[in-house]
Amino acid sequence: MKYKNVLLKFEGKIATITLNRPEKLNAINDEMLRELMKALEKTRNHYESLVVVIKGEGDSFSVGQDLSGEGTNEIMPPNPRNKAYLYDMFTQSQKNQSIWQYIFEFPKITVAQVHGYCLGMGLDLAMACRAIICTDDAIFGDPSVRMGIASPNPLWTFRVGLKKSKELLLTGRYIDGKEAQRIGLVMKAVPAAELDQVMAVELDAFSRSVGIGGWDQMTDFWCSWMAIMELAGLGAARHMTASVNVLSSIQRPGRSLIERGGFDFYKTRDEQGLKAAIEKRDAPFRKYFPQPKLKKR
Amino acid sequence: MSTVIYEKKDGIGYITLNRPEELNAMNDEMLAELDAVLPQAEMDLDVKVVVFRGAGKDFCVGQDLTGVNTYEVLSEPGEHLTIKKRMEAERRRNRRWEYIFNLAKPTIAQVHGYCLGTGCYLAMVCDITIAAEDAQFGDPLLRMGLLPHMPLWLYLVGIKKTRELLYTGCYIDGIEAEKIGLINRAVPGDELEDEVNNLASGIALMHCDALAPVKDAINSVMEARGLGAAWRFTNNMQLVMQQRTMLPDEFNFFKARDKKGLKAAIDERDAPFKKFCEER
Repeated sequence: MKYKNVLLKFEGKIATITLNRPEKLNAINDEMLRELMKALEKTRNHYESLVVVIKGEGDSFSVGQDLSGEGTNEIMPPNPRNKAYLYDMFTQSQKNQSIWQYIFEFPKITVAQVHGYCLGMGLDLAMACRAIICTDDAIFGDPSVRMGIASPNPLWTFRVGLKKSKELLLTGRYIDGKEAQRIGLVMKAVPAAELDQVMAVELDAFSRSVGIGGWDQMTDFWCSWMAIMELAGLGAARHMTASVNVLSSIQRPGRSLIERGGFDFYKTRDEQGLKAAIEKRDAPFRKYFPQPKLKKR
Repeated sequence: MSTVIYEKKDGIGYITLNRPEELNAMNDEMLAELDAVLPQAEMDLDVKVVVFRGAGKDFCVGQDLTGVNTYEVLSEPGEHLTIKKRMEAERRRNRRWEYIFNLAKPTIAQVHGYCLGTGCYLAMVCDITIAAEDAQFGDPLLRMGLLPHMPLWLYLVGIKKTRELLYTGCYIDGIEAEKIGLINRAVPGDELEDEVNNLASGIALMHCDALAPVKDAINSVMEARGLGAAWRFTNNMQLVMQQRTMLPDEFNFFKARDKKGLKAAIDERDAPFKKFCEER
């Protein structure tokens, strides 16, 4: 099959999936997510591959969900101004959860190779992988709160702890790769010039480490890890974050964010364009939470 | 004078513990005033984010151990109370922590000086904790034969560190607290207030209808991770611990206090541990 938004390559024990919408900073839309799932399914059945790398073409890993409003009916909550039915919102949220669950529970070693921006849904994708290796100037963050949306990602507190999760999600603050390493979000942050080399070494190590007890034993470990995560509450957490995510997406007259004078991202976007809306969303916060900058290449 | 001060400024609510001469030790009066002020801060539409802080040199040294006006804070082991009475009091204490943890707006603890026992619990149930580098965190309850009863210890610093800190009752400073995940950040003492105000001002730009669900989404994950049941378990264990019979030669903090005074009793409590805990 021919992919438009992702590239899939098999090389020895390593499969590489590259998000490929560089002109849109690899913003995730319905089509890209569908193709990503197909590429993963193909990798799952490709027996030589033990390690899967997910990375981004161009300047960034992924800037998050495509906020343009075009071709995003499946990944974005229904536009609140269209007065969507709750049924649609719940099923949309549940369906997305099953996608992240599929990636989190993927039976091969998944590694996100991150450079540039890794925001919102892009970060959800990276977090669902078993490891993240990034450049030290990569930018991580989830600005959902600035649009009034509660992140549906249940992995936050498991990955970086309760205090840090709250700090990052309640402010929408962006952090660089170095800080991401310090708080445990990523496995390694390295200078951009060394990323390819470090990745080559790490991927080789990952693919060899499964050789010690054999791939079957690795799969056995993986089954236990998944059971432990479910017992630790991840399953229920998924459903709860999905519900709160829907709750935050409902906009009813006089009862919610937009109707009570909050920042109306959708309206600003439709009137002034996507770029202006994102700028308006983030600008007021820069004074309080200085935004890390990407190094010039 | 009021033991809790509630002020508002630029979308930020400040709740200041105000018994500086007692290092902001929590007594019944302070808890009653906290209970009165919290719903007010929660419902106040001008307040987007609540900052907890302490007047004077410390954030809060923990429960008032004088035994005077502390029925609500601490059931002393020697008191002859019915099971029902004790349970009522325990449940009330628990509800207070859960209520602050689930307050429908973000909370920040601004910690300097001592932050011990229930003072530390207060900082833990806040969403974000920023502390001075030389702040002192600790939970020495076990040294008095009382059970440390805050389940968030495990979630914030993990099983190993929780055991180490609670078994020994040793204190750690802000830098160490940041390293193990008990707090978000430690900053030099003279930058603490600016750091907290900057953070709170940034959050205050957000709409309350955006902040509430974001906080709730994270808290619901903690609920799924078992925090709900953990509150109840630790609470029950605390009740059981109060019923235990002390050994004849065991250090009895409350007897020592009544005989020699509070300061001497605290010294006697902490002295044997000094050589095990790193001096800070």
